[in-house]
Amino acid sequence: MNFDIGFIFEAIPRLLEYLPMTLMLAVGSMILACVMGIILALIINNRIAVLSPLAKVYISFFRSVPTLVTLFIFYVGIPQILPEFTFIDAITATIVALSFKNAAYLAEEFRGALNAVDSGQMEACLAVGMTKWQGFRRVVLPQALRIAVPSLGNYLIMLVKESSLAFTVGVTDIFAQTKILASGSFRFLESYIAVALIYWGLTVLLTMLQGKLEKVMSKPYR
Amino acid sequence: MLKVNGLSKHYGKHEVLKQIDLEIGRREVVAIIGPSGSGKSTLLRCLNLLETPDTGTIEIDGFAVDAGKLKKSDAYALRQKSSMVFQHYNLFKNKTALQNVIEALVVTKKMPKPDAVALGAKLLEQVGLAAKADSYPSMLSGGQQQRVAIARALAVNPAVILLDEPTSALDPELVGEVLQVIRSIVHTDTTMLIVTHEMAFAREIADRVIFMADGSIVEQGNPQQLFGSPQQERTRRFLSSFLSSSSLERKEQHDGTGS
Repeated sequence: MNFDIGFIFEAIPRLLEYLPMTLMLAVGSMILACVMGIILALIINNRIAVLSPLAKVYISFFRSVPTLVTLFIFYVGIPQILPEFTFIDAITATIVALSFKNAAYLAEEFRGALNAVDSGQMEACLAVGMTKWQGFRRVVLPQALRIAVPSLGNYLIMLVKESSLAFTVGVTDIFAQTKILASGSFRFLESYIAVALIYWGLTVLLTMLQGKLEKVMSKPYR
Repeated sequence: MLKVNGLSKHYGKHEVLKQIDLEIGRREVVAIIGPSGSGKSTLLRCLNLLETPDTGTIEIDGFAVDAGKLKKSDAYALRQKSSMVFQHYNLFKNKTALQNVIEALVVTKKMPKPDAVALGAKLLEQVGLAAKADSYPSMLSGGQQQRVAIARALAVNPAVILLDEPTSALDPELVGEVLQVIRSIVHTDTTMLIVTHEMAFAREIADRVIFMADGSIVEQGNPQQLFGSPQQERTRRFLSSFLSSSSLERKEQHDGTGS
Protein backbone atom coordinates (compact mmCIF):
# COMPACT_ATOMS: atom_id res chain seq x y z
CA MET A 1 0.00 0.00 0.00
CA ASN A 2 1.33 3.40 -0.97
CA PHE A 3 0.76 5.11 2.36
CA ASP A 4 3.59 6.37 4.54
CA ILE A 5 2.32 7.11 8.03
CA GLY A 6 5.74 8.44 8.97
CA PHE A 7 5.37 11.22 6.42
CA ILE A 8 2.46 12.65 8.40
CA PHE A 9 4.64 13.14 11.45
CA GLU A 10 7.40 14.62 9.34
CA ALA A 11 4.93 16.99 7.68
CA ILE A 12 3.28 18.30 10.84
CA PRO A 13 6.26 20.28 12.19
CA ARG A 14 6.99 21.67 8.72
CA LEU A 15 3.39 22.83 8.36
CA LEU A 16 3.34 24.29 11.87
CA GLU A 17 5.90 26.85 10.73
CA TYR A 18 3.02 28.49 8.87
CA LEU A 19 0.65 28.38 11.83
CA PRO A 20 1.38 32.01 12.77
CA MET A 21 -0.04 33.12 9.40
CA THR A 22 -3.21 31.09 9.89
CA LEU A 23 -3.61 32.43 13.42
CA MET A 24 -2.97 35.98 12.31
CA LEU A 25 -5.65 35.73 9.62
CA ALA A 26 -8.16 34.18 12.03
CA VAL A 27 -7.50 36.36 15.07
CA GLY A 28 -7.13 39.54 13.01
CA SER A 29 -10.44 38.90 11.28
CA MET A 30 -12.07 37.99 14.57
CA ILE A 31 -11.07 41.26 16.26
CA LEU A 32 -12.14 43.39 13.32
CA ALA A 33 -15.38 41.42 12.92
CA CYS A 34 -16.18 41.88 16.63
CA VAL A 35 -15.67 45.64 16.49
CA MET A 36 -17.77 45.94 13.33
CA GLY A 37 -20.39 43.54 14.69
CA ILE A 38 -20.79 45.55 17.91
CA ILE A 39 -21.13 48.80 15.95
CA LEU A 40 -23.74 47.22 13.64
CA ALA A 41 -25.61 45.82 16.64
CA LEU A 42 -25.66 49.22 18.36
CA ILE A 43 -26.86 50.95 15.19
CA ILE A 44 -29.75 48.53 14.81
CA ASN A 45 -30.64 48.24 18.51
CA ASN A 46 -30.76 52.01 18.91
CA ARG A 47 -32.70 52.41 15.64
CA ILE A 48 -30.34 55.12 14.45
CA ALA A 49 -31.90 56.94 11.51
CA VAL A 50 -30.45 56.27 8.04
CA LEU A 51 -27.71 54.01 9.42
CA SER A 52 -30.05 51.36 10.77
CA PRO A 53 -31.58 50.36 7.40
CA LEU A 54 -28.12 50.50 5.84
CA ALA A 55 -26.82 48.14 8.51
CA LYS A 56 -29.62 45.72 7.73
CA VAL A 57 -28.76 45.79 4.02
CA TYR A 58 -25.12 45.19 4.91
CA ILE A 59 -26.00 42.18 7.04
CA SER A 60 -28.32 40.75 4.40
CA PHE A 61 -25.66 41.12 1.68
CA PHE A 62 -22.67 39.68 3.51
CA ARG A 63 -24.67 36.78 4.90
CA SER A 64 -25.79 35.84 1.40
CA VAL A 65 -22.56 36.04 -0.60
CA PRO A 66 -20.12 33.11 -0.45
CA THR A 67 -16.94 33.97 1.43
CA LEU A 68 -14.83 33.17 -1.60
CA VAL A 69 -16.79 35.63 -3.73
CA THR A 70 -16.39 38.32 -1.07
CA LEU A 71 -12.66 37.66 -0.97
CA PHE A 72 -12.34 38.00 -4.74
CA ILE A 73 -14.39 41.18 -4.74
CA PHE A 74 -11.96 42.75 -2.29
CA TYR A 75 -8.72 41.37 -3.73
CA VAL A 76 -9.33 41.38 -7.46
CA GLY A 77 -12.47 43.42 -7.99
CA ILE A 78 -11.99 46.65 -6.09
CA PRO A 79 -8.50 47.48 -7.46
CA GLN A 80 -10.05 47.28 -10.95
CA ILE A 81 -12.23 50.35 -10.38
CA LEU A 82 -10.06 51.99 -7.74
CA PRO A 83 -6.47 51.51 -8.88
CA GLU A 84 -5.18 53.27 -5.77
CA PHE A 85 -6.33 50.18 -3.85
CA THR A 86 -3.96 47.85 -5.69
CA PHE A 87 -1.62 48.28 -2.75
CA ILE A 88 -3.98 46.02 -0.81
CA ASP A 89 -1.98 42.88 -0.35
CA ALA A 90 -3.50 39.44 -0.21
CA ILE A 91 -3.25 39.18 3.57
CA THR A 92 -5.12 42.44 4.14
CA ALA A 93 -7.73 41.49 1.54
CA THR A 94 -8.32 38.16 3.28
CA ILE A 95 -8.67 39.75 6.71
CA VAL A 96 -11.02 42.41 5.38
CA ALA A 97 -13.16 39.90 3.47
CA LEU A 98 -13.39 37.49 6.40
CA SER A 99 -14.21 40.22 8.89
CA PHE A 100 -16.82 41.89 6.65
CA LYS A 101 -18.61 38.57 6.30
CA ASN A 102 -18.34 37.52 9.93
CA ALA A 103 -19.34 40.98 11.19
CA ALA A 104 -22.70 40.38 9.55
CA TYR A 105 -23.22 37.23 11.60
CA LEU A 106 -21.69 38.61 14.78
CA ALA A 107 -23.97 41.66 14.63
CA GLU A 108 -26.91 39.36 15.26
CA GLU A 109 -25.10 37.62 18.13
CA PHE A 110 -24.21 40.94 19.75
CA ARG A 111 -27.72 42.26 19.28
CA GLY A 112 -29.06 39.31 21.23
CA ALA A 113 -26.39 39.58 23.91
CA LEU A 114 -26.88 43.32 24.37
CA ASN A 115 -30.64 42.90 24.58
CA ALA A 116 -30.16 40.22 27.21
CA VAL A 117 -28.55 42.72 29.60
CA ASP A 118 -31.25 44.15 31.87
CA SER A 119 -32.11 47.75 30.97
CA GLY A 120 -31.87 48.59 34.68
CA GLN A 121 -28.08 48.31 34.39
CA MET A 122 -27.85 51.30 32.06
CA GLU A 123 -30.42 53.20 34.12
CA ALA A 124 -28.27 52.70 37.21
CA CYS A 125 -25.25 54.05 35.32
CA LEU A 126 -27.14 57.15 34.21
CA ALA A 127 -28.61 57.67 37.67
CA VAL A 128 -25.15 57.98 39.26
CA GLY A 129 -24.17 60.50 36.60
CA MET A 130 -22.29 58.32 34.10
CA THR A 131 -22.68 59.00 30.39
CA LYS A 132 -24.31 56.46 28.10
CA TRP A 133 -20.92 55.63 26.61
CA GLN A 134 -19.34 55.09 30.05
CA GLY A 135 -22.23 52.89 31.08
CA PHE A 136 -22.00 50.93 27.86
CA ARG A 137 -18.28 50.39 28.04
CA ARG A 138 -17.96 49.63 31.75
CA VAL A 139 -21.19 47.85 32.63
CA VAL A 140 -23.34 46.77 29.68
CA LEU A 141 -20.67 45.59 27.24
CA PRO A 142 -18.77 43.38 29.72
CA GLN A 143 -22.03 41.66 30.64
CA ALA A 144 -23.01 41.26 26.98
CA LEU A 145 -19.59 39.85 26.08
CA ARG A 146 -19.93 37.21 28.74
CA ILE A 147 -23.25 36.17 27.24
CA ALA A 148 -21.71 36.15 23.76
CA VAL A 149 -18.55 34.18 24.59
CA PRO A 150 -19.87 30.71 23.69
CA SER A 151 -20.93 31.82 20.22
CA LEU A 152 -17.83 33.99 19.76
CA GLY A 153 -15.77 30.87 20.38
CA ASN A 154 -17.65 29.11 17.60
CA TYR A 155 -17.01 31.96 15.19
CA LEU A 156 -13.29 31.97 15.99
CA ILE A 157 -13.12 28.24 15.26
CA MET A 158 -14.96 28.77 11.98
CA LEU A 159 -12.59 31.61 11.11
CA VAL A 160 -9.55 29.41 11.69
CA LYS A 161 -10.92 27.07 9.06
CA GLU A 162 -12.18 29.78 6.72
CA SER A 163 -8.74 31.37 6.73
CA SER A 164 -7.64 28.47 4.52
CA LEU A 165 -9.38 30.29 1.67
CA ALA A 166 -6.41 32.67 1.71
CA PHE A 167 -4.50 30.21 -0.47
CA THR A 168 -6.74 31.23 -3.40
CA VAL A 169 -5.23 34.72 -3.40
CA GLY A 170 -1.70 33.50 -2.87
CA VAL A 171 -1.21 33.77 0.89
CA THR A 172 0.92 30.97 2.28
CA ASP A 173 -0.87 29.73 5.36
CA ILE A 174 -0.73 26.16 6.65
CA PHE A 175 -3.14 24.98 3.98
CA ALA A 176 -1.23 26.59 1.08
CA GLN A 177 1.96 25.08 2.45
CA THR A 178 0.22 21.70 2.57
CA LYS A 179 -0.58 21.93 -1.11
CA ILE A 180 3.04 22.79 -1.86
CA LEU A 181 4.24 19.91 0.24
CA ALA A 182 1.76 17.49 -1.30
CA SER A 183 2.52 18.32 -4.92
CA GLY A 184 6.26 18.23 -4.27
CA SER A 185 6.20 14.81 -2.64
CA PHE A 186 3.14 13.23 -4.27
CA ARG A 187 2.11 12.30 -0.72
CA PHE A 188 -1.33 13.91 -1.02
CA LEU A 189 -3.26 11.84 1.49
CA GLU A 190 -0.52 12.06 4.11
CA SER A 191 -0.16 15.81 3.66
CA TYR A 192 -3.87 16.53 3.91
CA ILE A 193 -4.26 14.24 6.89
CA ALA A 194 -1.40 16.09 8.53
CA VAL A 195 -3.05 19.48 8.03
CA ALA A 196 -6.42 18.08 9.09
CA LEU A 197 -4.84 16.91 12.35
CA ILE A 198 -3.41 20.39 12.90
CA TYR A 199 -6.82 22.03 12.40
CA TRP A 200 -8.34 19.46 14.75
CA GLY A 201 -5.72 20.04 17.42
CA LEU A 202 -6.12 23.78 17.08
CA THR A 203 -9.89 23.53 17.50
CA VAL A 204 -9.55 21.31 20.56
CA LEU A 205 -7.15 23.85 22.04
CA LEU A 206 -9.43 26.79 21.28
CA THR A 207 -12.41 24.95 22.75
CA MET A 208 -10.46 24.39 25.95
CA LEU A 209 -9.47 28.05 26.09
CA GLN A 210 -13.09 29.05 25.53
CA GLY A 211 -14.16 26.87 28.45
CA LYS A 212 -11.55 28.50 30.69
CA LEU A 213 -12.62 31.98 29.57
CA GLU A 214 -16.28 31.19 30.23
CA LYS A 215 -15.37 30.04 33.71
CA VAL A 216 -13.42 33.19 34.50
CA MET A 217 -16.07 35.47 33.10
CA SER A 218 -18.90 33.72 34.94
CA LYS A 219 -17.20 34.10 38.29
CA PRO A 220 -19.18 37.19 39.33
CA TYR A 221 -22.47 35.53 38.49
CA ARG A 222 -22.35 32.35 40.58
CA MET B 1 -33.62 73.11 46.64
CA LEU B 2 -35.71 70.94 44.36
CA LYS B 3 -38.38 72.70 42.36
CA VAL B 4 -40.71 71.22 39.76
CA ASN B 5 -43.11 73.28 37.69
CA GLY B 6 -45.83 72.10 35.34
CA LEU B 7 -44.35 68.67 34.81
CA SER B 8 -46.41 66.45 32.53
CA LYS B 9 -45.86 63.17 30.76
CA HIS B 10 -47.89 61.06 28.34
CA TYR B 11 -47.53 57.46 27.29
CA GLY B 12 -49.49 57.47 24.06
CA LYS B 13 -52.91 58.78 25.06
CA HIS B 14 -52.49 57.99 28.72
CA GLU B 15 -51.63 61.03 30.81
CA VAL B 16 -49.25 59.73 33.48
CA LEU B 17 -48.35 63.07 35.04
CA LYS B 18 -50.64 66.08 34.94
CA GLN B 19 -48.97 69.44 35.48
CA ILE B 20 -47.14 68.51 38.66
CA ASP B 21 -45.80 71.34 40.83
CA LEU B 22 -43.55 70.40 43.69
CA GLU B 23 -41.06 72.09 45.94
CA ILE B 24 -38.74 70.40 48.42
CA GLY B 25 -36.43 72.08 50.86
CA ARG B 26 -32.87 71.15 51.74
CA ARG B 27 -32.62 68.12 54.03
CA GLU B 28 -36.35 67.58 53.83
CA VAL B 29 -37.55 63.96 53.72
CA VAL B 30 -40.60 63.58 51.55
CA ALA B 31 -42.55 60.36 51.06
CA ILE B 32 -44.83 59.86 48.08
CA ILE B 33 -47.65 57.37 48.52
CA GLY B 34 -50.53 56.40 46.29
CA PRO B 35 -52.11 53.56 44.35
CA SER B 36 -50.24 51.69 41.60
CA GLY B 37 -50.26 53.57 38.33
CA SER B 38 -50.72 56.94 40.01
CA GLY B 39 -47.48 58.24 38.47
CA LYS B 40 -45.31 58.21 41.61
CA SER B 41 -42.44 56.28 40.07
CA THR B 42 -42.71 58.17 36.79
CA LEU B 43 -42.44 61.46 38.68
CA LEU B 44 -39.29 60.22 40.40
CA ARG B 45 -37.82 58.96 37.13
CA CYS B 46 -38.54 62.31 35.46
CA LEU B 47 -36.47 64.06 38.09
CA ASN B 48 -33.27 62.40 36.86
CA LEU B 49 -34.55 62.22 33.29
CA LEU B 50 -34.63 58.45 33.04
CA GLU B 51 -38.03 59.36 31.64
CA THR B 52 -38.22 62.47 29.51
CA PRO B 53 -41.11 64.68 30.56
CA ASP B 54 -43.21 66.29 27.82
CA THR B 55 -43.34 69.70 29.45
CA GLY B 56 -42.26 71.37 32.65
CA THR B 57 -39.14 72.58 34.38
CA ILE B 58 -37.00 70.80 36.93
CA GLU B 59 -34.55 72.59 39.17
CA ILE B 60 -32.25 70.79 41.56
CA ASP B 61 -29.65 72.54 43.69
CA GLY B 62 -29.57 75.60 41.46
CA PHE B 63 -29.44 73.78 38.14
CA ALA B 64 -32.58 74.04 36.03
CA VAL B 65 -33.71 72.26 32.87
CA ASP B 66 -36.72 72.81 30.66
CA ALA B 67 -38.28 69.62 29.33
CA GLY B 68 -39.24 71.40 26.12
CA LYS B 69 -35.65 72.15 25.13
CA LEU B 70 -33.58 69.45 26.70
CA LYS B 71 -29.96 69.02 25.68
CA LYS B 72 -27.93 65.92 26.36
CA SER B 73 -25.40 67.90 28.37
CA ASP B 74 -28.23 69.32 30.51
CA ALA B 75 -29.44 65.82 31.26
CA TYR B 76 -25.99 64.73 32.41
CA ALA B 77 -25.54 67.89 34.46
CA LEU B 78 -28.91 67.47 36.17
CA ARG B 79 -28.14 63.83 36.99
CA GLN B 80 -24.98 64.92 38.81
CA LYS B 81 -27.31 66.47 41.38
CA SER B 82 -29.17 63.31 42.32
CA SER B 83 -28.84 59.59 42.70
CA MET B 84 -31.38 56.83 42.77
CA VAL B 85 -32.19 53.65 44.65
CA PHE B 86 -34.19 51.29 42.45
CA GLN B 87 -36.91 48.82 43.29
CA HIS B 88 -34.86 46.01 41.76
CA TYR B 89 -31.52 47.29 43.15
CA ASN B 90 -29.87 47.35 39.69
CA LEU B 91 -26.41 46.78 41.10
CA PHE B 92 -23.77 46.48 38.37
CA LYS B 93 -23.70 42.70 38.05
CA ASN B 94 -20.14 42.56 36.76
CA LYS B 95 -18.75 44.49 39.72
CA THR B 96 -18.19 43.75 43.40
CA ALA B 97 -20.05 45.58 46.14
CA LEU B 98 -17.14 47.97 46.63
CA GLN B 99 -16.70 48.55 42.90
CA ASN B 100 -20.41 49.31 42.66
CA VAL B 101 -20.08 52.00 45.28
CA ILE B 102 -16.95 53.66 43.87
CA GLU B 103 -17.67 53.29 40.14
CA ALA B 104 -19.20 56.74 39.69
CA LEU B 105 -16.61 58.36 41.96
CA VAL B 106 -13.78 57.14 39.79
CA VAL B 107 -15.48 57.52 36.42
CA THR B 108 -17.46 60.74 36.70
CA LYS B 109 -16.11 62.53 39.76
CA LYS B 110 -12.51 61.69 38.83
CA MET B 111 -11.69 60.93 42.43
CA PRO B 112 -8.28 59.24 42.90
CA LYS B 113 -8.78 55.50 43.33
CA PRO B 114 -7.36 55.22 46.89
CA ASP B 115 -9.64 58.01 48.11
CA ALA B 116 -12.62 56.39 46.40
CA VAL B 117 -11.83 53.01 47.94
CA ALA B 118 -11.54 54.57 51.40
CA LEU B 119 -14.86 56.35 51.00
CA GLY B 120 -16.47 53.21 49.55
CA ALA B 121 -15.28 51.11 52.48
CA LYS B 122 -16.65 53.68 54.90
CA LEU B 123 -20.05 53.70 53.20
CA LEU B 124 -20.23 49.91 53.11
CA GLU B 125 -19.50 49.91 56.80
CA GLN B 126 -22.26 52.44 57.32
CA VAL B 127 -24.78 50.08 55.70
CA GLY B 128 -23.35 47.16 57.66
CA LEU B 129 -21.69 45.36 54.75
CA ALA B 130 -17.98 45.98 55.24
CA ALA B 131 -17.42 42.22 55.16
CA LYS B 132 -19.09 41.91 51.76
CA ALA B 133 -16.92 44.47 49.93
CA ASP B 134 -15.52 41.89 47.53
CA SER B 135 -18.75 39.98 46.97
CA TYR B 136 -20.53 40.15 43.65
CA PRO B 137 -24.25 41.01 43.63
CA SER B 138 -25.18 37.42 42.78
CA MET B 139 -23.74 36.32 46.14
CA LEU B 140 -25.77 38.84 48.14
CA SER B 141 -29.34 38.61 49.39
CA GLY B 142 -31.90 41.09 48.12
CA GLY B 143 -31.65 43.09 51.31
CA GLN B 144 -27.86 43.20 51.12
CA GLN B 145 -27.98 44.24 47.47
CA GLN B 146 -30.33 47.09 48.30
CA ARG B 147 -28.06 48.22 51.13
CA VAL B 148 -25.12 48.30 48.71
CA ALA B 149 -27.34 50.27 46.32
CA ILE B 150 -28.00 52.79 49.08
CA ALA B 151 -24.25 53.11 49.71
CA ARG B 152 -23.75 53.62 45.97
CA ALA B 153 -26.39 56.35 45.95
CA LEU B 154 -24.76 58.08 48.94
CA ALA B 155 -21.27 57.88 47.45
CA VAL B 156 -21.80 60.57 44.82
CA ASN B 157 -22.83 62.99 47.57
CA PRO B 158 -26.06 63.94 45.80
CA ALA B 159 -28.20 66.96 46.60
CA VAL B 160 -31.19 64.62 46.61
CA ILE B 161 -31.57 60.84 46.79
CA LEU B 162 -34.52 59.41 44.91
CA LEU B 163 -35.73 56.10 46.35
CA ASP B 164 -38.14 54.25 44.07
CA GLU B 165 -40.04 51.68 46.15
CA PRO B 166 -36.82 50.46 47.74
CA THR B 167 -38.42 47.59 49.65
CA SER B 168 -41.15 46.45 47.25
CA ALA B 169 -39.13 43.67 45.64
CA LEU B 170 -37.80 42.28 48.91
CA ASP B 171 -38.88 39.22 50.83
CA PRO B 172 -40.83 40.38 53.87
CA GLU B 173 -38.16 39.30 56.33
CA LEU B 174 -35.56 41.45 54.53
CA VAL B 175 -37.59 44.66 54.51
CA GLY B 176 -36.58 45.55 58.05
CA GLU B 177 -32.82 45.72 57.46
CA VAL B 178 -33.25 48.03 54.46
CA LEU B 179 -35.67 50.32 56.28
CA GLN B 180 -33.19 50.42 59.16
CA VAL B 181 -30.43 51.63 56.81
CA ILE B 182 -32.69 54.27 55.26
CA ARG B 183 -33.71 55.38 58.75
CA SER B 184 -30.03 55.80 59.61
CA ILE B 185 -29.39 58.24 56.77
CA VAL B 186 -32.51 60.33 57.24
CA HIS B 187 -31.67 63.86 58.38
CA THR B 188 -27.94 63.36 58.02
CA ASP B 189 -27.20 65.68 55.17
CA THR B 190 -29.20 64.61 52.19
CA THR B 191 -32.59 65.51 50.90
CA MET B 192 -34.71 62.43 50.26
CA LEU B 193 -37.66 61.73 48.06
CA ILE B 194 -39.03 58.25 48.63
CA VAL B 195 -41.82 56.45 46.84
CA THR B 196 -43.10 53.74 49.14
CA HIS B 197 -45.92 51.42 50.06
CA GLU B 198 -44.65 51.15 53.63
CA MET B 199 -47.18 53.47 55.27
CA ALA B 200 -45.91 53.04 58.80
CA PHE B 201 -42.39 53.80 57.62
CA ALA B 202 -43.46 56.89 55.67
CA ARG B 203 -45.29 58.11 58.74
CA GLU B 204 -42.23 57.54 60.89
CA ILE B 205 -39.46 59.11 58.80
CA ALA B 206 -41.08 61.68 56.52
CA ASP B 207 -41.31 65.39 57.20
CA ARG B 208 -43.98 65.55 54.58
CA VAL B 209 -46.16 62.98 52.87
CA ILE B 210 -47.55 63.46 49.38
CA PHE B 211 -50.53 61.46 48.21
CA MET B 212 -50.71 60.99 44.44
CA ALA B 213 -53.52 59.55 42.33
CA ASP B 214 -54.14 59.52 38.58
CA GLY B 215 -51.09 61.61 37.78
CA SER B 216 -51.82 64.45 40.20
CA ILE B 217 -50.83 65.41 43.70
CA VAL B 218 -54.12 65.05 45.56
CA GLU B 219 -53.02 66.08 49.00
CA GLN B 220 -49.90 66.68 51.03
CA GLY B 221 -49.01 67.53 54.57
CA ASN B 222 -47.07 66.36 57.56
CA PRO B 223 -47.59 62.69 58.42
CA GLN B 224 -49.90 63.42 61.37
CA GLN B 225 -52.18 65.50 59.16
CA LEU B 226 -52.18 63.22 56.14
CA PHE B 227 -52.58 59.92 57.96
CA GLY B 228 -54.55 61.30 60.91
CA SER B 229 -57.05 63.58 59.25
CA PRO B 230 -56.91 63.38 55.47
CA GLN B 231 -58.92 66.18 53.84
CA GLN B 232 -59.67 64.60 50.49
CA GLU B 233 -62.12 61.77 49.92
CA ARG B 234 -59.66 60.07 47.51
CA THR B 235 -56.96 60.03 50.19
CA ARG B 236 -59.35 58.62 52.79
CA ARG B 237 -60.39 55.84 50.44
CA PHE B 238 -56.78 54.91 49.70
CA LEU B 239 -55.71 54.97 53.33
CA SER B 240 -58.70 52.97 54.51
CA SER B 241 -58.02 50.26 51.93
CA PHE B 242 -54.48 50.13 53.21
CA LEU B 243 -55.45 50.05 56.84
CA SER B 244 -58.30 47.61 56.36
CA SER B 245 -56.14 44.53 56.64
CA SER B 246 -54.64 45.53 59.98
CA SER B 247 -57.92 46.84 61.35
CA LEU B 248 -59.64 43.64 60.26
CA GLU B 249 -57.16 41.68 62.31
CA ARG B 250 -57.85 43.83 65.30
CA LYS B 251 -61.59 43.44 64.78
CA GLU B 252 -61.30 39.67 64.65
CA GLN B 253 -59.28 39.66 67.83
CA HIS B 254 -61.82 41.87 69.46
CA ASP B 255 -64.71 39.65 68.34
CA GLY B 256 -62.85 36.60 69.57
CA THR B 257 -62.35 37.92 73.09
CA GLY B 258 -65.78 39.55 73.23
CA SER B 259 -67.86 36.42 72.74
